[in-house]
Amino acid sequence: MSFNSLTAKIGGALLGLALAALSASQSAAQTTLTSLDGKVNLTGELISYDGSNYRIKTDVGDLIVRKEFVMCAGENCPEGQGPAVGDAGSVLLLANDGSARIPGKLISVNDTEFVIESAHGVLTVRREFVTCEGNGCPDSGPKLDRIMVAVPDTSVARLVTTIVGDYVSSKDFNLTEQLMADSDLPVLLIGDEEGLEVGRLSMAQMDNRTAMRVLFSGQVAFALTRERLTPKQVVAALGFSVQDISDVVTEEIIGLDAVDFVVSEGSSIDVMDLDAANAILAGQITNWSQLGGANAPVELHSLSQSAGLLEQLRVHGFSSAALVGDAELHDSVETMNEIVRARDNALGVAFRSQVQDVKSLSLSSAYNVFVDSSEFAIQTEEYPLGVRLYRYTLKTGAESELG
Amino acid sequence: MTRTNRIGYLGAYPIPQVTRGINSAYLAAKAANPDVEFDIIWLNEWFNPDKEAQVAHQLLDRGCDILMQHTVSTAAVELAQEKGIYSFGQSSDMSKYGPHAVLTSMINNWGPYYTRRISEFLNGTWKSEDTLGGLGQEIIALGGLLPTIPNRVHLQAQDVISRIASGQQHPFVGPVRRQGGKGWLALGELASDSDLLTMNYYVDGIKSVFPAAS
Repeated sequence: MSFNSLTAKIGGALLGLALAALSASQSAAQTTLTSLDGKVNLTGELISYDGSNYRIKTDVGDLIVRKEFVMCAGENCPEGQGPAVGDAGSVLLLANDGSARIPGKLISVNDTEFVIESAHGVLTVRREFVTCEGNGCPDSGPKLDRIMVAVPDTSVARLVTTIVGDYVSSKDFNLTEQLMADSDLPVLLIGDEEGLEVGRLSMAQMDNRTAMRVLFSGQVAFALTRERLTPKQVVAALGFSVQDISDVVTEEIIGLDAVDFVVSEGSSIDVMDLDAANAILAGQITNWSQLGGANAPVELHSLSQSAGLLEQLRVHGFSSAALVGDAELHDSVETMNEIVRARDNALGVAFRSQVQDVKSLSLSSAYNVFVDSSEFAIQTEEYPLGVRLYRYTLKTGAESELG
Repeated sequence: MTRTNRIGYLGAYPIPQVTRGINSAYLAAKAANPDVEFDIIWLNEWFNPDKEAQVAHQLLDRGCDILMQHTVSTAAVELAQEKGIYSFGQSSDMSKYGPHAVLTSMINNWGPYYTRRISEFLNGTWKSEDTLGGLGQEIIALGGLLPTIPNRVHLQAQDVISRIASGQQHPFVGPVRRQGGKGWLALGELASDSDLLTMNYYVDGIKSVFPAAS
């Protein structure tokens, strides 16, 4: 079923090999094969062309290059073997009466003319006489709605993904996630009912101060934070003072989360005193028996990429300096949940939005006031370790529908 | 084999090599089950077990009960085994990691190719050539089919495998439209090698967005 081809690799290898043999000049009898991204040129004598492959004699020997990977320039190029329609950046200009077809690479376009690099040289063509086909053509479809959003951590990025997913589903649109190799944050591609892209939401992880700065510089459509920003922070990012920050930014609470202490479903512990939780994080309580549980060491687990978690613990009065040092930090939420689920002596500390299939401990605070860990308690903000999610947008400027 | 009609696909990089795997799998699945849908997440990596596991979890959460992949770790297969759903191995036989989950594996069987080419080099007959091969050329192989699949499905799968290997069947035969409805292959028309090597679009029916260069 799969046509897993070696050809692309071989073609790429040949082109890479040929990098060392670049020739800046081209005599009249010579042919130049240029890779579609324009980065590699192979110059030499064109020996043959069989409809699929060029065979070209170069300084490094005879090379076979598939036609799909290159554009051919030179008088020996076969007829019509300029860039193919569909190649990145390439176009085909079709005369409205069908009398001419000009394949090539679009150099520039304005309201009246196409300028195209073709096998016959650089040509300027009036737009009213031709139609443009190919990936390189100017977009005549609906304008893509592209926005960038600042998020404090990956769990907020997940929340954004869920919100966008629900939104596009309600419109009968589609959401496709694209992860990047150098980031844990997905790019969200929004497609219409047929899957054609109509919007794109990218996310960038940053601290609150940076988020405000890029918001004011117009690099992000809005910023999400886990803390309410102080006027001082806003003014610092803005660069000049304002009487009231509501003159420059709009603040909304768009979500509620909580710091959660979780154990396995099989654990005999259901409730934890806030002071006891604090003592565990500070390394003063190290065995479950000190809390009325089994005689087993308390094994702390958390996430390596939840910088906001420590901040929130501090905000809620935890002396959590020992958390990082004593806890086993995991790269993925799934791994942390899995370990806590499997080990009766494990205690996980994470945001509620991150935990799954584990038991959230109810909390008791001063004067033995008991608060369960239900979603309801979080929504009513009775839960003592609740966290708000704020959304900041600029007061001025039009916001896209996606935003 | 699917109850939810949702197939989750872990895409590596959005390049023709991967895209034609998705398209061919979709067309084949659609031929067997017209209600099937593909949910595709792109990782932009070939091998990252943690990220693959995370994406596989997401796909399960979104209702997928079969996982396919062009990434190459066994993370998705292992999750499928754990959750009691089906999956396909990629690049190597992954049945060991999902003995009850792996329907089959697509195996990069390049050994015979290397043996032939090195032999040519050693006996002085090697020359540069263009190679495009699949099941018929034994550059691609399939792992064993999961023994527990229904006999009828087993027979159908074996038939398709042998027909593709013998050249009697092609994964891309018209009528096929591109995503969005634009015409591509007319009735009975086969995709050319050039089409296969430059496939940077989905076929009609896939609802995911193809990640065009930004």
